[in-house]
Amino acid sequence: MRRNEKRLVAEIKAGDNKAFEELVQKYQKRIYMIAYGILKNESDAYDATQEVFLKVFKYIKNFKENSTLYTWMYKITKNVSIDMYRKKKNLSPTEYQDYHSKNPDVYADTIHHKVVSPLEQAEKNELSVKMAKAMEKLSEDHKKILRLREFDGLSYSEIAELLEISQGTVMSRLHHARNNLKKYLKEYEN
Amino acid sequence: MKCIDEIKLSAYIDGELSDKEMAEIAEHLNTCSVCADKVKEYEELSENTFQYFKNIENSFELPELLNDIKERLKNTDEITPEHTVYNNKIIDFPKNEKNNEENIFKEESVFEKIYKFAPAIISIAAIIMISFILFSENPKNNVTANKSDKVTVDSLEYSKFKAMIYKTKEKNKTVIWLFDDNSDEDNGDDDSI
Repeated sequence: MRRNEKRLVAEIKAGDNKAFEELVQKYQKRIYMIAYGILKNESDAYDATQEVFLKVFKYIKNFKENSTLYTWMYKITKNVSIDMYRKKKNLSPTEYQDYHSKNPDVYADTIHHKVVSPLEQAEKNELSVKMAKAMEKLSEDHKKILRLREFDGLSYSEIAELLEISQGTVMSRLHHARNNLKKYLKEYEN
Repeated sequence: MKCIDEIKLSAYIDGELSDKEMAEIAEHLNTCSVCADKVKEYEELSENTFQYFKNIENSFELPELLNDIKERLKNTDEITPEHTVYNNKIIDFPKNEKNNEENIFKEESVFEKIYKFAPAIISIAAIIMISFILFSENPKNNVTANKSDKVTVDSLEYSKFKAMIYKTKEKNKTVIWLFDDNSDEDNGDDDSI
């Protein structure tokens, strides 16, 4: 677990509300993006994000710190969002699995809530434009694994735990994701 | 020297190989420009990918989220009792409404149902008992109560006259009336013996 996270967890457990506020500010966007990926709706993702932090506040004393705080919150976010989606659509767990297999989680670049699109955001920068276009072509699985590794900075074992795949698969999928991204970037260069 | 698999180079930039493999690749990169270029390419890609996601994160704000969460923490019973203090403010937890709901929806036991109807049951039982006492006090024979405190306890019929035996309740006296069989009605105490 990263030192900063350890400190945050210890302080929140000790009842430091400023530390809890710091936690919210640090992770709110990431949590929101994960929730949005599952719920595909800004308002629901916002509600889910609130629920996640309330649960974190409520259960942090039970957090054993065997994994990172972020992976723990990631799992909570996933559970809260799936639960919310199922209740809204009145789906059984099996029906949700069917739905999910046809409509995988979307990540980041599909968020439109108070958002300038990634392309607009990147217009100033040619490389960013190319990156945005190339990322759009990646599969959701590849986007997800790149995000977890490159942006969230998770280790292979943490990614494996979250995605419920082996570490070997993480290594292989990450390699394919990077190679595909390189390939799409080269296509735009040419 | 043989080039290293790309999959290993990808894992190398993540520092996810064993110490031995990391050392071997590091040594190899000193002598193999092809692999060194690939590693450089992966590292640049990694940095650009981070920047891509960072741009997305910077492209939106959730300005009210923290306040909304604080409000919910202040006004809700969703949190456990150990978190009763937030921002140095004691949170008063409302009575657990869930328990009230449970009470509302809880099925009544047989005892509770009986208890609920106890006044009615007691009233009915009292009426039955009073009726029983009243009727049981009545003489079994051809005995009737009249308006006074006298009670006819027996009657006899002879060819010439009729006799009726009364007992008074108050003084516990026995009164025997004899009257002519032809007379239509008795006329009180004058005929009594």
